[in-house]
Amino acid sequence: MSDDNDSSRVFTPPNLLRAKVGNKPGPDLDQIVAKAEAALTELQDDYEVWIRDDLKALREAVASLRQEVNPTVLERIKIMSHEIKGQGSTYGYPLLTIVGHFLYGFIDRDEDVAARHLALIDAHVDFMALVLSQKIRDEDDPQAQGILSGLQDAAKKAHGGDPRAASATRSAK
Amino acid sequence: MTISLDALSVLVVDDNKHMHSVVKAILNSMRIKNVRFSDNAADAFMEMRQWHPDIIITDWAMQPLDGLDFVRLVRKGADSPNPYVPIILLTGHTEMCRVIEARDTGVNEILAKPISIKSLYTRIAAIVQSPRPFVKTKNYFGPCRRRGTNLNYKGPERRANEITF
Repeated sequence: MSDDNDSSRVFTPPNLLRAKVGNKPGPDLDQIVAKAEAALTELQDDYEVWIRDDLKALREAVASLRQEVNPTVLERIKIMSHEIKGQGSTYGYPLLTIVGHFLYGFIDRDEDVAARHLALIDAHVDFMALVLSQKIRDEDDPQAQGILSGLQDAAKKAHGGDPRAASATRSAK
Repeated sequence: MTISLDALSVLVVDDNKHMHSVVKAILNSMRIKNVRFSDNAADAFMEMRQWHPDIIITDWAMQPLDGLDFVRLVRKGADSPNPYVPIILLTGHTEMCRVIEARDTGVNEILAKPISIKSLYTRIAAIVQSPRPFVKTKNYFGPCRRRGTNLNYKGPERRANEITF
């Protein structure tokens, strides 16, 4: 904000939105949340179909990388993992958010390292598939925690012991 | 008590159609039914010409133009239909440097994915009830980036010119 100097101008436009919504009270926030959660619950079945398609696409992308290293494909995997991170918790799968974040971080940290560890990318995808097939919605599930720790350790090792690999997963929460 | 938001119109810009469903479900729970969707920034900009949304909710990670490119178009484009429209940025990138980049591009509010229903309501309500003034400097045009008033500030007022219209 170093440019907020004498040449700055401050404008206060009329608040047309306040006038538009008026003074009518809306539903309680708890009601809004309950209604939204109910609507999102109805979408969960659809989500499970979408996410399985995404996992299939991820597997195909990794398979193509085994044939030929292609930065564009690796970037696509990164973007897909980021999308999974952004949606999992919304649909009641917080572990998908965590592992999506973890996979994104693993690739983003060093794409060359990621391209040399395709089995580890597969392991992330396998874990997502497990979460879905077992419908593991509890992020503290002991079995899932064990696998997550294994993924963390493997990522750390792949990146030469970089401790940032381990911290990436937890910050997704 | 909340305020009724049912009169508002919202344009959602996201290249992921699953997110359209998520945002629609949440907006509908707030009784906001007048919602349109674009799956890329260029289409959204065109949509703004035909239809005038009260609020825009945009994703950051999109191609070929990303969410911040879209914000720049809206805020600074010579042919922008509404440079003052409130914009909420959705992003999975919550690192401080990214938040600062988004703020300095001219977004009103930033919301982390996965979306919190309460957080989205709170941000829309803030836009309606307590809109921030706009600031134009040599390098920036957008909502005021100052979130609070420093009562201990002793220096000169750097914003000498304030205009209400």
